[in-house]
Amino acid sequence: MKTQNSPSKRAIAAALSLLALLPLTRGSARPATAGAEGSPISTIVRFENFGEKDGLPSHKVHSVLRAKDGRLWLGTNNGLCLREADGRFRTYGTKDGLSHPTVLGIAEDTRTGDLWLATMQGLTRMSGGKLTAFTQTNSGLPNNVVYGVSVIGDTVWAATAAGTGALDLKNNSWKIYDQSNSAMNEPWCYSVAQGDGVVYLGVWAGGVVEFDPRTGLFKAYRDPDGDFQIQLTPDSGPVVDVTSGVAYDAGILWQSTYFGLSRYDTSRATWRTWVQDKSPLLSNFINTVFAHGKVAWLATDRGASVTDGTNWVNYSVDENGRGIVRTYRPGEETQVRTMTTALADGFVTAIWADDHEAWIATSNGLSHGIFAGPSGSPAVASNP
Amino acid sequence: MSHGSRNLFAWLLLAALADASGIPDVKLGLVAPPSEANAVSFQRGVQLAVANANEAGEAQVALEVRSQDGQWGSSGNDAVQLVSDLRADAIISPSDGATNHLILQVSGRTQVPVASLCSDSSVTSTGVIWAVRVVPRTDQEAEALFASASRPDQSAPTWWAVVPKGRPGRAVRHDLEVAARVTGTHLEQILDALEAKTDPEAQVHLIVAAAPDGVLTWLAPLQAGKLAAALRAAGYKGQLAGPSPLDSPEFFSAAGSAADGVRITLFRVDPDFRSRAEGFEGQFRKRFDSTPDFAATAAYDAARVLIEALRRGKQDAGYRQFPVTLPVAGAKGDLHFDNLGNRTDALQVMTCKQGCFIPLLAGETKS
Repeated sequence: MKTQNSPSKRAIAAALSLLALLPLTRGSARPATAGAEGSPISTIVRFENFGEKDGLPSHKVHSVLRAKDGRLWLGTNNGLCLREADGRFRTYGTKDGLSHPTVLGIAEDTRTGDLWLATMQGLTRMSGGKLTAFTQTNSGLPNNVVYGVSVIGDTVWAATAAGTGALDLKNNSWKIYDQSNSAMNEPWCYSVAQGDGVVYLGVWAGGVVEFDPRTGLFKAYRDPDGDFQIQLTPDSGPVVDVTSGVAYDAGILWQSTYFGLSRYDTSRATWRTWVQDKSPLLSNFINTVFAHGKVAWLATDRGASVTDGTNWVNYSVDENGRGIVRTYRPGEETQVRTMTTALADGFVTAIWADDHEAWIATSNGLSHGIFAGPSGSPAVASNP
Repeated sequence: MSHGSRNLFAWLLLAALADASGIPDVKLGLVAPPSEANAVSFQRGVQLAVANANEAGEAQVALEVRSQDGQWGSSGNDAVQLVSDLRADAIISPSDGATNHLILQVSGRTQVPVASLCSDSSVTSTGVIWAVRVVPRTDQEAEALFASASRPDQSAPTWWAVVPKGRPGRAVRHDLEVAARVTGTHLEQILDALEAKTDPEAQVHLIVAAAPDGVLTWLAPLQAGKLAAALRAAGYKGQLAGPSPLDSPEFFSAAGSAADGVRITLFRVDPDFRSRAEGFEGQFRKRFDSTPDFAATAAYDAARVLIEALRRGKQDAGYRQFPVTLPVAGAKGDLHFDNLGNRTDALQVMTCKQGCFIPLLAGETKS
């Protein structure tokens, strides 16, 4: 499905979406609208899906970012992809200077508009439409397998398979942080996120490492019980040490893992953890996490799970391919509804979201989640 | 035509086209750097499994091997090359723990299944759903070995262990300590193996002087064999035991007569599968003019699991076939896995007699 529907088609789709908000099984009949019921979580009422037939270079999408100028960028299995203003997709590949076709992460330097791309064989900068590759051999990048990237002030942070590389853009110099000079237990970095004045590194088998560039000090947050199957000491640290992703916003650090979710409230220095058997968490297997305000968007193997730690909205695909949304609020019965549209695939790899829309990368296409408007009607898509 | 019939038709058409074009149904990648003690056995085991699958017409299977040593982290690059450039559908990872984690990281982001030949418990505690381990976990092996030993006065035996230096040793140490805690075993000392230049004899004399009831030589086959020989030559009379890969020619050769009485664990061979095991051993001997050791057998099984899982799920992405819930026909029996990808098949304590490992009989458990 493409976004270039006629107004009448959009109206029909909107009406169908409203019908779909009627309860499927149990719970109240009121529509789930964005924040209207006291929940800070915006609710998706409709998905628009895109695949190779729509111009994506691969059905496998690994990363998604809407840049400050409104342009949508996708990291796929077969190149970097830009969604043009007319809705068409334009692909940048190795022939254009991309260091490897598989783009796992995208970060923007919001001061310059430059993009930094984490690929499976190097880091690539896109500046003024020109792509420049940084590898182990031509730069101080610690390893060519780059899983995550973040631009924090004048420094580009690259999470690699053999440590985190920090490129100082002012003097073009690199520093490498690994188990030999930091609080990392292992050098296998998987994710990096900007905190308030600090950097958070998601380390595979090393929990979360916090680095304060002002003091040069590291602090490791590790699973206190060291057990990956049983939570002997819940809410006292990361759920496990194998971190699949980290994200930070509004004073909250989120850690995604393949065994559940952790949240660290930096102002209170308190941890909370969730596992699927003891919470509404859709699945313990969380590929990545995206933070917007105090809300976390979780890319799981069974769909997208959205939470502020109290309220939850889960989007999944049932065995008949129908979209299912489950809403959980404290003290209320769980609401389960069908949608007229479904995620492109239940295996979600990455998410970008703001107050107006969500873009959901899956292993079989891209989904655009359209939120309910203030009155409960679907908001009009705001794509460029 | 129903949806299912259309899928079947499409699959048959694709299979016929792939067959005609020589495109394999399944492409396996093997990472086996020469620094791996069992690299040759791994390659042979996988090659036989691939050949058998192709000869049986089960599927068109191709194999890509990455066998270069490199700097720290290069195994991740190998995995990327296998998955991205060579289009491997699944990877067999070797026995080194760090290499496994580098491969699992790639697997986690690309959903390419992995069959691991590493016994570190940390491999299946990463949570990668599409990863299985075909060898026993170190803690499982040690538990069985600890349980097989006893003292005449029924008090708990004391054990020492010698493990590799550095990260590999750290992982083994962790798992042995877990096994000791679970079984209530007194694991008195865990020593890092000394290199030749730092006087390993002093370490041998230290062990002999302490005279623990048992010593775990948790090292690669060659090093374990040398240590066993040195301990016996220095007069150590206690029980020697080690990991499954000691079932190898390198160990027997290095240990010499000191191999006799050394205990390891192997997956129990069900009598019903004896003919299958003999058939596998015969095929291996015919192809490579040698007896399949533990590493070759495990590598064969790793390839079997991946071929079977990918074959079963040909219409769908390979990772969706995991966890493996159905038994898979292995070299010497059916392989079963739990939700974390660990083997659930029973381990049996074996003892070395005249150059081969045979089941430890009841009543032989005194150390």
